[in-house]
Amino acid sequence: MASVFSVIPGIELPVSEVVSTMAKMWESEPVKGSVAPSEFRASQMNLILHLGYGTTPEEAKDLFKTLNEFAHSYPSRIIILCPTPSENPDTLLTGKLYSECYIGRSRRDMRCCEVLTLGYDINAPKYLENQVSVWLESDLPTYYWTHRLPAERINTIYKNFISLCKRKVYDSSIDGRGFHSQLDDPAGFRDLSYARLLPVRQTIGQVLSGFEPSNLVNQLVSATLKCSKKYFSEGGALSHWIFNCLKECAAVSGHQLPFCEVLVEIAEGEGGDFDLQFEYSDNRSLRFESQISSGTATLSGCMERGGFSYVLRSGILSPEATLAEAIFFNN
Amino acid sequence: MPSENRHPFLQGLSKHRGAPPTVVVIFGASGDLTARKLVPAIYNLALDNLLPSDFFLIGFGRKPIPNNEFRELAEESLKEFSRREVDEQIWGRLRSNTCYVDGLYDDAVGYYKLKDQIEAYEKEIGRDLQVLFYISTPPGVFRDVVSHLGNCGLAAKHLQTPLASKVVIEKPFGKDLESARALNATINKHFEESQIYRIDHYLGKETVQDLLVQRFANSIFEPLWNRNFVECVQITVSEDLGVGSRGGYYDTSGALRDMIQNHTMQLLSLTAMEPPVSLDPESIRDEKVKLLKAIQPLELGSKNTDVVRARYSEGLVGGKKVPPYLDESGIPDDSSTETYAALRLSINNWRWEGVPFYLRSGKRMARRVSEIAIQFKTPPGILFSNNNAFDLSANTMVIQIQPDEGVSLVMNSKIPGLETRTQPVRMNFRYKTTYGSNTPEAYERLILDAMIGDNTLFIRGDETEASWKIITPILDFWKSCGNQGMAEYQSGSWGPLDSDQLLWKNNHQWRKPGP
Repeated sequence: MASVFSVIPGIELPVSEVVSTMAKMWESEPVKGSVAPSEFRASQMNLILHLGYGTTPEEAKDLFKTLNEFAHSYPSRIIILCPTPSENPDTLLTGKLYSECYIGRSRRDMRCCEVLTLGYDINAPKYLENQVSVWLESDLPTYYWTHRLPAERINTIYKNFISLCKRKVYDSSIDGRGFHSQLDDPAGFRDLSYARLLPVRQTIGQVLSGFEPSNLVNQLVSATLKCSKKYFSEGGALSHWIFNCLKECAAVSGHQLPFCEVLVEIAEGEGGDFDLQFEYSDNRSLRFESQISSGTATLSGCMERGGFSYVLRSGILSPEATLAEAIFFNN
Repeated sequence: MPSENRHPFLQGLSKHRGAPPTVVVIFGASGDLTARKLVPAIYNLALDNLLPSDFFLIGFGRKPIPNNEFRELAEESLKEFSRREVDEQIWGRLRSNTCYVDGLYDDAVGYYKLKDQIEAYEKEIGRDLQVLFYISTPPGVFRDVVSHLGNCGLAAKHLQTPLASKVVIEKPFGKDLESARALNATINKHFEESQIYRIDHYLGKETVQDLLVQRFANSIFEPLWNRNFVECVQITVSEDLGVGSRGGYYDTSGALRDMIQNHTMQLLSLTAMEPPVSLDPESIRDEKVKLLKAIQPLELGSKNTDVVRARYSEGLVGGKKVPPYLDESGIPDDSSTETYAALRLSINNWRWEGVPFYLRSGKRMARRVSEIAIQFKTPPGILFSNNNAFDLSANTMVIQIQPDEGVSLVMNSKIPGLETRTQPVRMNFRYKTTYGSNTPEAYERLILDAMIGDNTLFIRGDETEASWKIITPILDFWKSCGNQGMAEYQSGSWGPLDSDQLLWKNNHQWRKPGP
């Protein structure tokens, strides 16, 4: 079976030659009447993807694709850290270089990015920090994406290294819902599962913000969220957000919630991906059902003004947009 | 309510993701702006899921157009002008929430039909809707539209609530100080100032917004941004196109009214204003008004004039021969309208005393470009300037607004070699290469801002009046002169000699912005 390092595109070369090779690569002279690629090399940030040992080659290919598409909008110096068992005790690090210029609508609409992949021996991580520092674009912010890396290793071996990064992202659908709570310093970490559901939160938020906060929480007995197995982790992030919104509604309207979490259950059988229900002790009701694959959702119920049913647009963000949301915007 | 008075269910969502249920009504719905900019902007907002879940679009115009036909026209405009492909599902939903109401702008009947349609939508969804009126009509009917909206109660709809109606008005905001005051008085009679959004699409451009960031988020520029270090500032808004089919309209307007009074003055005020106490809309707009009020009255008609006007003559643009202004269609033979205007302004405040600000705008110029160039003082000539081996240039920071939005900085550097020779070099930052080109169009940002009630990037009534106060004496003077003093410039050039002479008096030269 191919190794993770081998499936990541790029030219393999000794780590000592990566920087000089990259510099030469951009030195190319323009063809008459065109512009040299160097003019379009305008990294705005560094992005480190740190793969854990459990990463599969298929996952690595998908992650590479996401990074590449992300870099079309946000030209970056991308560094992929890839645990690679070393066959030679003298060669604990191996390098790979990939670059790409993405051409948009016009000649001037071109962006270039670079991907440096570092294969490192999992038993010799102490060299990693120095090697990565040599490869980073100086003075630009560095973001960090961890994938299948145990929290315990982040807390110990990579602590200093990661502390230099501006924002860190992980995916609770991959790393587990308990990942965040296992981190010693979770403050700068953002969950891609939460970011991915931005359109769903926005749809729910836009509709429910049309109701008075007191109407939403008065006589509310319970709130439950059923979600498909596929989106169970995202469901956890969504339920947390909904509970916080309800708590705030209660706080501003002088009510008390009779529950301390929005229950999340895995939906049985064929149904939507998310089914959120508010149960009231009077005859009111509120239900939000969303099927991600169709990109639509239904919000129905009966509130003060009577019954209603809206068909709404609701999907999830693409992987590259999810990454951008988590890195730049997600609060 | 939680902080910022936002609904709890909007927490964690940026302010731009919390637009309330809205119906946008476009007056002048069959016009060019609607097809080219407004409908595509609304569609692209829908594509980014930035429109509220309850969103409706109503076109209003004089021509009776069946709903289906209006939807077809909108779809055609999307296919032609949207920056992104048309997604059938997204457009389908928007399309089904789109309709057309016909009526005369000066007749109340159409406005009551409009009111019925809005109420029908509210009934359909069982909720109140915010109404955003977008007036994209010829300026002659602005006042009619605003008055009728007031008289039929639509202007005051949901007033004093977060769903209060809003009105977006396209330029020109009057044609001189008097008419601007009259227009403001009419609008203010029916709408409160907080409901009024005077739009200048330049303010929606990324680089213009970035100007505040460049100035106030970088500690290296602001300390130099004053008379001690700045030699002069040049603001250029040039077009390579002629008047085209707009000759009839343009001849009643001219470069000073069409470009300088609005776009160029906005760029000037953002460039030269004092730091606002905060980024809230009123603080920024207060500073812009203060700056405009500090501009010294202009010298007109003397040898030391601060203004130049000209019109284009025959010439070559893009290698093709183009006719003079007076031969363009719709232009009367005795026209005294300028197609080019240049101003030298002095700002009477502590920061800018003695620093000339040069503004120019024209049609049929060498290139289409909008830029702000801050030219810093040249360094003392002790070390490098006493020998012709040294070609020292003034440091210049150029904020380019179009095309190719970006910022560049010119600095001196040593040419590699054994001898010490210097040469100016340019450091470039381009939005397209750094952030990609698929950024929102100015109209998307501005329509969304209006929907969420953020008027930072819109012009306040007193701003328009302060600007007209500078411009109106020039218009009056030119009117009194007829064609006397009207210079000519060759199409495809950077303007007339008189305009160059305006700068020579201070030993300055106009920049010739390259690609």
